[in-house]
Amino acid sequence: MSYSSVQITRFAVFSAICVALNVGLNKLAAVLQLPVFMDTVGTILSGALVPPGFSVAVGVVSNLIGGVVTHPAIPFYIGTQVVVALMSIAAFRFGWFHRLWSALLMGLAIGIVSAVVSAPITVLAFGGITEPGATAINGILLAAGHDIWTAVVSGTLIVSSVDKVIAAGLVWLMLKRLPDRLKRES
Amino acid sequence: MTATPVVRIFPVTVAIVIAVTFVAMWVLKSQLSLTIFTGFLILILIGSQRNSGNLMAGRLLKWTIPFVVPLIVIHGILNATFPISLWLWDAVPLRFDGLRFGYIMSVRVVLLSTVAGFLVSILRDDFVESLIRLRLPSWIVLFLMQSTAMAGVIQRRVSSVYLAQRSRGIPVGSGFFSRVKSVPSILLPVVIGTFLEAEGRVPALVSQGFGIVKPRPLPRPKIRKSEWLFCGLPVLAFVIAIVADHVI
Repeated sequence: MSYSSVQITRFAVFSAICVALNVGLNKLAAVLQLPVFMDTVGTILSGALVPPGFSVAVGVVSNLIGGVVTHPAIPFYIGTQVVVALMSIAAFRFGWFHRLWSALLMGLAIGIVSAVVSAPITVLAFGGITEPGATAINGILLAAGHDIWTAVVSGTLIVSSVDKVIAAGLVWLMLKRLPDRLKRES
Repeated sequence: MTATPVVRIFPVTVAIVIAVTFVAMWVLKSQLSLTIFTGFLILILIGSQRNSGNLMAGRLLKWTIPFVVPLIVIHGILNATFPISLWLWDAVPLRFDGLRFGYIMSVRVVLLSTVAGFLVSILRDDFVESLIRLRLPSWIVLFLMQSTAMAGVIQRRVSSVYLAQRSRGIPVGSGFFSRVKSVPSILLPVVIGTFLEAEGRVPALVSQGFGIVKPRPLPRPKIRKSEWLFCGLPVLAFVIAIVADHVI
């Protein structure tokens, strides 16, 4: 599909805001002392606002910029962002963000899949260390005698599920409040 | 992209650092030689900063400590899959294999953080110019630059809306569930305001010919001899580490 220069500029600007939400919302998690990342809100939201290619780019660029702004470990999780973007695009296409319960279920599904994708990176690249909440769970499970893979998958599943359910709920709320003209289908 | 280095760090310098680091991670066999390489890279990075050497050192500590301390504690003491080698005061089990594993991982984290330190030392103008010089479509440059600029704007807005909501009496600081419930009251004003503002920016950009006129190629930056020599320092660090690898 070809887009006019106005549309491309609009998608580029909106995608940039989605990236900024991914990178900037960890500040919100920090000021409210919430044990979640909030780093996929923009990626999920982009599924409703920009075409699929831009949405995937939002995920990739978020982690590249996050690697410079927030922590150098973040770019290693680009694959996770791509998976989140693809699942959100499918979810919007099938209308799963029209109702709160289906949006939350979708958040749970995204959380489970992204935990499975993230766990190998956490184990192989960082020896099981990740964000503090998940690291604490991993440490407890390792001390209990579980192997590193079981510990990391379990810890990441718990934290990632909570994180993505919250993110999906927030995106549902944002879509309710955002004017229809800003959404792609309008 | 905030520090002001003594030697101007160009994107080409960082590309050399990244390439050398990846080769080093593959080629260097002993952990000691990788540690030597990392140490030299840290010295080069901090030495290149003008007045912000302490700032860069602080940033490196901020990036690495949350990884290094748990790596040592979890694998060296807690991880029951490693055998206990020694009891400290008959209370704390020390696992030497776990400590070794934690050390190996820690060196990698420190090395990655150092490379990121070089990245943040690139001046913003140099970064944009190198993107334009790559002949990327202007909307990609816009996307990348707006993303970097807006991330800071969103963080500042979150802080100010948080303070505004607190001053209005909305409970944003008490128990866990009330904090979760207060997220929309902070997030929605930030997100909706930012998107509406961006919507207004699009016609302004297009009316200036954005996306229609092809970007003009920029002249190559003048890199001084000292800056080229600086590019050679990471390679020198790698050569020293290789020698150490063979000697050890």
